[in-house]
Amino acid sequence: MTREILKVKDLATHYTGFGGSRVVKAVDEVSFSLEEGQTIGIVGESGCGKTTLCLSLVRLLAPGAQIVGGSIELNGRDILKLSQKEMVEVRGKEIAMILQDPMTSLNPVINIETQVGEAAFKHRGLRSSTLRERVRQLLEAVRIPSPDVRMQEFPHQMSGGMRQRIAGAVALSGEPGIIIADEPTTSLDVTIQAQYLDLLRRLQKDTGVGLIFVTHDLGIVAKMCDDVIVMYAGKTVEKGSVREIFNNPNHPYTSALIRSVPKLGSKDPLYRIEGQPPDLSNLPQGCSFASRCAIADDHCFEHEPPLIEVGPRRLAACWKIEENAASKEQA
Amino acid sequence: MSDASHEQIAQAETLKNAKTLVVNDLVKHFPAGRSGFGVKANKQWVKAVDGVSFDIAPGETLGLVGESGCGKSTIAKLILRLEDPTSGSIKFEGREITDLKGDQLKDYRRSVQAVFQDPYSSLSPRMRVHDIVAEGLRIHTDYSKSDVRTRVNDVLALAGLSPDVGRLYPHEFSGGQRQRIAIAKALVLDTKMLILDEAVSALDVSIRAQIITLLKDLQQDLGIAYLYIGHDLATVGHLSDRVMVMYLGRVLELDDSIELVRNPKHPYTEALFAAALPSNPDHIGDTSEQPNAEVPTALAPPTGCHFHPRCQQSMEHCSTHFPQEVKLTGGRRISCHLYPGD
Ligand SMILES: Nc1ncnc2c1ncn2[C@@H]1O[C@H](COP(=O)(O)OP(=O)(O)OP(=O)(O)O)[C@@H](O)[C@H]1O
Ligand SMILES: Nc1ncnc2c1ncn2[C@@H]1O[C@H](COP(=O)(O)OP(=O)(O)O)[C@@H](O)[C@H]1O
Ligand code: SF4
Ligand code: SF4
Ligand SMILES: [Mg+2]
Ligand SMILES: [Mg+2]
Repeated sequence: MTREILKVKDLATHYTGFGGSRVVKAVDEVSFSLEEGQTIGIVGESGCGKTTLCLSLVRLLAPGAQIVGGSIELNGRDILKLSQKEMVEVRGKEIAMILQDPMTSLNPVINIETQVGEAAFKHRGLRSSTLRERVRQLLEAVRIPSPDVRMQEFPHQMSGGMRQRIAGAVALSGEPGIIIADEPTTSLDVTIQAQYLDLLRRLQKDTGVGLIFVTHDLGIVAKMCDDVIVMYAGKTVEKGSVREIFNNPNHPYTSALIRSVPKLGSKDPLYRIEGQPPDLSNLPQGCSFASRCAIADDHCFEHEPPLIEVGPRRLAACWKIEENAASKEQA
Repeated sequence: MSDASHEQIAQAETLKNAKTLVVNDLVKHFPAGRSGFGVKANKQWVKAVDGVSFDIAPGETLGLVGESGCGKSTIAKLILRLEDPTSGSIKFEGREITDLKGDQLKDYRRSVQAVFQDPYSSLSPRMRVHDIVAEGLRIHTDYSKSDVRTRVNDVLALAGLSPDVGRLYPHEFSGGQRQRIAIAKALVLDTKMLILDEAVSALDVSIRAQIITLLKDLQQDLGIAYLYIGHDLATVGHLSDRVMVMYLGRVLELDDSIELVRNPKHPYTEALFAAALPSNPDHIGDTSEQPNAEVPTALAPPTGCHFHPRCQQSMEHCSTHFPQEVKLTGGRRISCHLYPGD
């Protein structure tokens, strides 16, 4: 069995505003674990809490956000018990994050060499020519042409695809066991995206790094991930292996998501999930998907379905899992 | 049958065959670098659009795909007369529009509208939704206040919004709703053509499906011609009747969308399809054959076939000779030395 490097249990992160009168439950009792060399995908619509979950894992939450419950065990120790000062030692060394927007994560006035070298300097004690050699290797690993020239340049001199790859090199620099990538390719062209995803896969093969991929693009999950967590309104609504989730989704939200994506070469009408996700500061009673769910009934609107085991290593939160499976079989 | 009705039928026929838009050999070169500086003689030019021809029929959707910087948005701006072409012709309902001025240009603008990618910046933040949507009516008509209200409520309903939203401001809406507002605004006049430049790219999958379905329904009801610009092949293919593939200012391939997806012929189109994300983990394509080089810029396009440095099938003369466009049997347009034509 491979080693478990991250274990998140019942994690809850809330944003509090207006003197505590408005509480946004952005992450609500989310649990999962990650093994060495494994890739886990976190999917869900905008605003469902994906980025907040990631920021919780590296403890870089915005002011106003607070982890109000649960635990995050990183390599066997609960990082929620660490001080921010101790977290500085952990971040970049054990776990690193590639942010949603590479332009904001890279510092515009610091050259590429310094930014890519920072974690190797801080966490791996590399200096002078060894450090520069390491930076060159990292830039080569992410396929930046003429790395010796490029490392003297600044982010604005790079194309979008190159900036994204450099953000990848920054994350790899401290040789972390886990990299979290938050929508790393949404702004890229399909060809550059495909290159970047292939690159991450290759790096994972070489280094055994565990990847957490956050996205609303199911295609990325299909291509990259072993397991997937489907989030809705701050909660896990379904979890399992990517193959099983795509071929046999249990939760109505998951199957609706899959059917709402246009497929190459098909003009079949898309499935439409009507309406919008609920306001996380004012969640409805019962199942939070009920107002958009095609098979909801009165019970759903009144009672919240628990996340239960529905098969080996498979979880789902829905009162009508059997019914949903049956209706799929008919279709 | 009387002569008159014969004439009517003939007229209806010509109208049916008439294209909404005919673009011929369109060229747009931008001066490179900071304009106003440098010596004029060795000024460099970005060939953003370099000899592009296509047409769109009423009620038809033409899809336009290609990597960023290939000239898609420039084509949109030229059609919208937000930029003037360097050369070439754009005919709308048979009339040349590149030299329209004054009232005639204003008239043209009534019929051609656009919806852009960013629903956050395309709506003026200080105006109420009603006034945003009504703007075209104020500029182009002398409708009474109550006529304006009726028309605005009608198009809001077409876009799937209730009349109540009229008194709210754009920031009070989600991205998908803002895109609906932009669509309502674009439909408020007697729109004959809509330019959709990455109109659903920034939206979540579920909201994207809502907007795509809305666009399809509207087209069916109103017979509007669409130019749909995007980089997601699955979405472009889904929405479009025909698809045009562009690279560095030029058209490389154009055909019926299903034909093109099932049987891409141009090596660049093939590369785009190979790079597209799978819709199921069981169909992960082999992407190891991806073209590796960065996309060259339109400022210094490669010689010969622009795609040759990235092409897996490049031949000797590809780097020296530009491939002329040919029409294959079945009507596909393609520009590649692998397809020399007859
Ligand atoms: N700094 C903040 N203060 C208050 N609320 C916030 C803050 N950041 C996020 N939220 C709220 O928390 C919820 C989850 O936001 P989060 O950014 O985690 O979503 P996401 O799933 O990453 O969305 P996207 O796909 O748009 O990136 C949302 O309701 C959002 O409005
Ligand atoms: N106003 C402008 N001035 C100079 N160059 C421009 C201008 N607008 C676009 N370009 C250049 O023209 C090319 C095509 O751009 P664009 O049409 O925006 O591409 P796309 O929409 O396909 O991404 C790019 O090289 C771009 O940098
Ligand atoms: S619990 Fe009810 S409303 Fe919620 S997803 Fe299941 S069927 Fe739909
Ligand atoms: S002309 Fe030559 S280089 Fe260009 S796409 Fe065709 S085979 Fe490739
Ligand atoms: Mg996010
Ligand atoms: Mg563009």
